[in-house]
Amino acid sequence: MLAGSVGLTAMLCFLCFGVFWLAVPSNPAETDNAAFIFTVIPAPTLTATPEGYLTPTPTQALVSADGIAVGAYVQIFGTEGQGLRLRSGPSTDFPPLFLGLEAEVFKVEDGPKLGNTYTWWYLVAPYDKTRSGWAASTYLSLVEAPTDVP
Amino acid sequence: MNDVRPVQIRANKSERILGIEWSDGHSSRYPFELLRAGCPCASCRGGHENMRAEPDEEVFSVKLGDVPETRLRKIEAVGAYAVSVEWEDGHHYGIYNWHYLRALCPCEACRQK
Ligand SMILES: [Zn+2]
Ligand SMILES: [Zn+2]
Repeated sequence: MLAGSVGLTAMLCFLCFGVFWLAVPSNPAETDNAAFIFTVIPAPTLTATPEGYLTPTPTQALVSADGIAVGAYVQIFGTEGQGLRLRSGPSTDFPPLFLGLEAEVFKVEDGPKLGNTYTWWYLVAPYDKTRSGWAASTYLSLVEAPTDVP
Repeated sequence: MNDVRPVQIRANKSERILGIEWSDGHSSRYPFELLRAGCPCASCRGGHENMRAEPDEEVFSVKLGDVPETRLRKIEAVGAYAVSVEWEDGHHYGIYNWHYLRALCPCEACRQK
C-alpha cells in the first residue's frame, strides 16, 4: 500500500516533469527562423506626448524577414525571365535605370526603405558599379557572397 | 564570441531600455539614447567607407536626452541575425546585427575590453 502510493507519486512527478520538459523546447520551434523571444513593452499611455507619438505595438512581435541587409548579396529571382527594374529611388514612382537580369547577383548597399508597400534595397553589381539602383525585395533572394569579388 | 546570439530581446518603451539576454548568459541593457547614438546606418556613420563592424567609441559618451530621435517607434527582427529600429523622428535605416549589438553593450565588463 505504502509502496504503491510512493510509486504513484513518483510516476506523477515523472509525468509532470516529462510534460514540462517536452513543453519547453516546443516554444522556440514556433518562432522558426527567429530563434529568440522578442518582446516590445509599450510605454504607458500616460507618458504619451500631446501629439500622441505612441503607435500601438503588439506585445509579442515575431517577424520572420527575408534576411536581406546592407552588406548581404542577393540574386534576382522569380521574374520568370523578365528581369527586375532597378530604379533611381525606392518606389515605383521613380524611373527605371536598367533591367536587372534574372539570376543576376548584387550587393546590398542601402535600405531598407518603404515605398508603395514594397521594401526597397539599393543594389550594386559587384563587377560593375554603374549597374546600381533601387529594387523591390519581392524579387530578391539572399545568396552567399561571391568568392571572387575584388 | 562569434556565435553569441540573443535568446531574449525586450524593448521597454516605458523604461526606454532595450534588454538582451545572450546565449552565453551575458545580459545587456541599452538605453534608447545609446542605441540611437550608435545607429549603424551609413548616413549616421558618415558613409559606407567609414563603416566598421563595431560601434565608434564616441557613441558611449553622446547624450541625446528624451527627444523624438531617441523615442523608439518600432523594433523588428531582421531574419535571425539582426533587429531594425524605427525612431519617432522617422529614422529607420539602422540594422543592428548581433555582433554589433554585443559590441555596443555598455556594461562595465564589456567597456573595459
Ligand atoms: Zn542611422
Ligand atoms: Zn556587457
